[in-house]
Amino acid sequence: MKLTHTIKTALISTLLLAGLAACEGTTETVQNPFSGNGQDVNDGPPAATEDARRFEINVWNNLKADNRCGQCHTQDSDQAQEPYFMERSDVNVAYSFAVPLVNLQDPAESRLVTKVAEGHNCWLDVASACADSIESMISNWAGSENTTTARAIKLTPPAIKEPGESKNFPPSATDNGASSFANTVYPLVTQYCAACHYEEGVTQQQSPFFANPVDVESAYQAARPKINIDLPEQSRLVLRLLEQHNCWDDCTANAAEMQAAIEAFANAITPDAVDPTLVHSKALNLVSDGIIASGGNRHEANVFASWEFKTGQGGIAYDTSGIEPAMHLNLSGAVDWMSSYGLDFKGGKAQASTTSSKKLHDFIKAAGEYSIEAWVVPANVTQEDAHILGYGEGANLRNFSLGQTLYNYDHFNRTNQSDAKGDPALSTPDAREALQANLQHVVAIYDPVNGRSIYVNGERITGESPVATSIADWSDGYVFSLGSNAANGQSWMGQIRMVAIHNRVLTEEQITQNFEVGVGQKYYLLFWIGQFLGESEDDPKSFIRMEVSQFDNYSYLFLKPTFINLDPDWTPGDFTIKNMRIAVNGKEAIAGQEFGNMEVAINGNDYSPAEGQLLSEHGAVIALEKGPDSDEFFLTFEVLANETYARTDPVPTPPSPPADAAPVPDLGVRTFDEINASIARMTGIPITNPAVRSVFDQYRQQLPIIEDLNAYLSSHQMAVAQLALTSCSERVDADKALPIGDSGRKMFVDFDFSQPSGSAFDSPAKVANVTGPVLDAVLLTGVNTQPAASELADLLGGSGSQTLTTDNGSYSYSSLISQMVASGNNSTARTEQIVKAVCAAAVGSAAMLIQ
Amino acid sequence: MKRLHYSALILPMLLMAASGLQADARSQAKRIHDRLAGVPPTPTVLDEMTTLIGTDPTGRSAAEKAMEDPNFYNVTLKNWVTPWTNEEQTVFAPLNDFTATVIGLIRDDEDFRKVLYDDVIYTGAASGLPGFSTSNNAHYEALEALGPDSGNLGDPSVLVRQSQSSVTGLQSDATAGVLTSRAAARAFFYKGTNRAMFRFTMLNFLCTDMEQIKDNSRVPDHVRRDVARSPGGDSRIYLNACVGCHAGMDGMGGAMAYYDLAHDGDKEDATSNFENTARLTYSAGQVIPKYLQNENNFKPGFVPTDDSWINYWRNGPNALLGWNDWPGVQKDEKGNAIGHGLKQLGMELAWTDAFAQCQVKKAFKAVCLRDPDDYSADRSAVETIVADFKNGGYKMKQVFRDVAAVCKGN
Repeated sequence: MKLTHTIKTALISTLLLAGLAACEGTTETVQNPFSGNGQDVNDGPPAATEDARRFEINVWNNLKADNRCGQCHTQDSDQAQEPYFMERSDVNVAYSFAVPLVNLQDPAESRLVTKVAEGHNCWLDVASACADSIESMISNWAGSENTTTARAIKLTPPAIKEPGESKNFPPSATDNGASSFANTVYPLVTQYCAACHYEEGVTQQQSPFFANPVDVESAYQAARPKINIDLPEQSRLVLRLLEQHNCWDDCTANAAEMQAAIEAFANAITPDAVDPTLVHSKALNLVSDGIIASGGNRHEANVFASWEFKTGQGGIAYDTSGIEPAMHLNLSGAVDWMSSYGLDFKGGKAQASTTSSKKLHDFIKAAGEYSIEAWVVPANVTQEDAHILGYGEGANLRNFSLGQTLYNYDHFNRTNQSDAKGDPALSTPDAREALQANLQHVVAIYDPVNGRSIYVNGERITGESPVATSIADWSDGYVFSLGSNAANGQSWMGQIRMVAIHNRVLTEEQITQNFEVGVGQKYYLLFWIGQFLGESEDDPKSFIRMEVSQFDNYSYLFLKPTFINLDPDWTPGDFTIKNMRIAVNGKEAIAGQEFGNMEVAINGNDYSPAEGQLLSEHGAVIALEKGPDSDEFFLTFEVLANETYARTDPVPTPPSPPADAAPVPDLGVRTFDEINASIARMTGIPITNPAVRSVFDQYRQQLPIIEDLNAYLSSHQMAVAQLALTSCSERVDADKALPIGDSGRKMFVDFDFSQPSGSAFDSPAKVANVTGPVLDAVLLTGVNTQPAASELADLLGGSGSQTLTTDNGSYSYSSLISQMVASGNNSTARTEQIVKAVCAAAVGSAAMLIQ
Repeated sequence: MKRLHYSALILPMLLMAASGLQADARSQAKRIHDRLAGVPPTPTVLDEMTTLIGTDPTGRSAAEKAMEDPNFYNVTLKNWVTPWTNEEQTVFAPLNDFTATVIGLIRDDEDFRKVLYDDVIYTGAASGLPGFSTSNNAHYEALEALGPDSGNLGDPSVLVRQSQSSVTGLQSDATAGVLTSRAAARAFFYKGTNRAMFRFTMLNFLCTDMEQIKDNSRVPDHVRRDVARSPGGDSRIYLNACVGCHAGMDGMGGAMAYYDLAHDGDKEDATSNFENTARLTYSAGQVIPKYLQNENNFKPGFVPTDDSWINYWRNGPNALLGWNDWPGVQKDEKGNAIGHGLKQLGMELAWTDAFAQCQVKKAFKAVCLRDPDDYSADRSAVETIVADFKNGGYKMKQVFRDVAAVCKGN
């Protein structure tokens, strides 16, 4: 009954909200007013106002428990402590204490949030996760009023600082010899951390894998984000030891030992100095100088579970929807945190408990519909039946799941029309190739009337399947998991950057709205360039504003470079900004300089005090070097107002010529068409002869394709023989049809085909009537790169025993004609066969083949 | 019959041992003919060529005689060109408008650079041929079936030069030699993104594949939206590999933004009507849809709006391709060539040193049967032939003549 009451309340609230949102006709942020933690028992007086009621639903119910803020901030607690914003005896008292502690316009700035973020009694392991949850609760409270609008970002000038010399990580783990990573930090981490921080660790396999004892380069890549080469004592490798994280001895001593190793490594790195001739802006760091941009106006009216993966470390991914019970996910197996917010699945999974997963069952069954929304990066387009996320028990039992098969997303949903695993799945069509190995926003929706649809990057890929269905059969005993199913099967390779589950069907507009907001934390960076416009460093006004985010683990994304002056009364005099590049840690990035060929005149027509003037609509992906906490950015220009920098490309040097290769044969074989044409020329039977064409078409691809002698195979020779036999057969048939000595005979002019084989070849003259014309056709006179005609004549028609002398010895044999006469019937048919064979043996020989 | 086959196998092996002797004038003449025409000379031609070697010991005059054999066009050139006309690079493909046009330009001693930009096409004029069609290849297949006697492609009355625009209806300023042939469109404008046309043109006419010219330091502001900047979630792949080609390639890719292949059915489906319907289309002023596909892969990427292009590879390491100024070329202040359409891009490519070198090297490989880059003596010979090719008006027969002379034997 309690649950039913809760759901009813939530549904009513949601419907009210939906109506309000529709009236507004805008795409403002809408938050979930749903409270479903099962603790909404109010034994005291009811909420006195609508707003107090929203506080009660969204915050008070979630935080009043003994294991939350209610442990202290209520007067009936043994540890009672003001302010009593969780006063359990009277929600109205709690409300009056809470109001001064929240900022409904900017929930992240609420004292309740910032206090917890500072580490004040978080009930989870990670303070930021508690802060995010409370922020969501306050957002839900604020969203219920439908007053939340896009937060106006206040641009405040950053501290002005010159780009400094900067140390950069050497490319290889072995650079700098004795002071290399391999010889300083690596020995320590492999000795003490490899039991866990190694892909095959004996205790567990805990990312990051910086202690891989068999691959120093992969360990180096994983360790770099954990090492601060500018401030070694601030390295995570040091700080974690100071936090008592698995020290091998005394933590302080261990931390000092680690710090000394990092210092030895860092001290050997020569800093990169800034080129003094560059025209450049002042410098900024993303985290310390960036102004956090709004997360955008996401539609989250019915989100009841969400994961943004902001913590970046540890074994738990927190559900920060603010809706209890929180479905925190336990990480196991090969799954890495991404520094750009996300989880990188390589066979592992992230899984909620059965108890907390029941939230899915309860919320969705109550509503009868849902939307799964995720930002994913499939690692490839070759995996099949892979489990991106789902709520089930294994491959054959599930309430729903989103999966991948090659280029397709699959949405399984268990209904009264499906089997127990949700088959048949709804898949994106093969021809669309909707799934790409790229960051994608995917939404799978279901409602009982319209069925399922899948949207990718805001576009509906599959249509609705309007079959009335019901999800009444859903089980509440399953678990929710990402990356692999609950039974550790169907492992999916890829990254998940965000997941949100809504217990309503998102409309196409809402999906587009959420897609366009994007994913990940965005910052504004204000690069001061006022020094070139006559401004004082003490009163900086002119900036190039960039929207910057970490794009993935390896790069940043710089968007919307905009010139802006913070003085609203400022008007631009005409000046030019041309060919802008992004520099990282003292030097221009090599790759990704999207703005390197732009030219913009800043002028009164295009500039507005509120928006500034956009310089480019492109986005630049710039490689991450040391990480967002350490990388220092500045901008360089070829023209900025009156300052210029002449950039020239170095003149490339041609590569030096290689040494001579090993000698190759000077000769080759003819190839297929050449063989065909050569045989035609020798026999006089054109390639258009139907019999020849038929055989050639059949054997064309069995003939040599390349001239290389070493590539000549017996199969090639078989094809040559077939072709030669066919042409010779046609030749013999044509010649024998004409009288002896007829001018129409093209080859065997004087040979008598009417004699049986026993007598047709019984004199040297008769034999010569066969071998002579054949050799005339095949051999050219006076060419000394051919075999001698007399030798060939002996091979073909010599009488008596012949001797073949080779490098391997001498062999006795009879000529072709002698053998064939002796081995066959004494007939005219045999005579023709012998003539054809003599012709084919010569025409199909190396005398024809070699060129 | 088994005995017969056995004998046929033995004999070639015996005869191979006879090769490798010192070549005299007749042997040199035979080899020149073998290599250029693919067939042995007739005794009469051999005598003539031997005489010519006596009067011109370089062998060039003899080579010119050898190139009069129809098989130089019907066999040697046809098979030399055919792999350039399909993605599989197979030589087992029928004669088509691409190969016929290359053969014709060579036969007529035209400036071979026209192959990439001119309003030219060669068609058959032998009797009984089906008419030329923009939608199928029947005309050329029938021409090839005539064989070297009645279908001698070396005969100007059999293979005739025409203006491409008059034959195909493509507007003249959109023609670009063989790049706008039906065969090239069928091969390289089929589905995809038209980048195949650029890659295979570089491969076939500049002897340069993308892998060899990766340069990730060029400005990537023309890389279109469909290119993933973080494939599989790893942007290092894009920054270290993908952008190395796409920065330059997509810069020039705008040249093909109006071209496409219209077709029914799929090329891979032999039962479909593809081969009877595939034809080049040109939408003047209208960027084709596939240039804008997969836009969500990277929204802040480049969106082409016309057929303009820029050659960023005139600077940086790929300046080594030897870019030269063609008539009417325009450049930005960095010296990057800029232009519109495929005809101008064809000229940009055809005027490179790499283009001239590539034609010579391909001819060398076909005639001398070895890679000219492997030996310093061959590299020197190629250098000389390239210089003569450029100074002599880019005549390909001259190149074949000269490489045959180099490889005639001692």
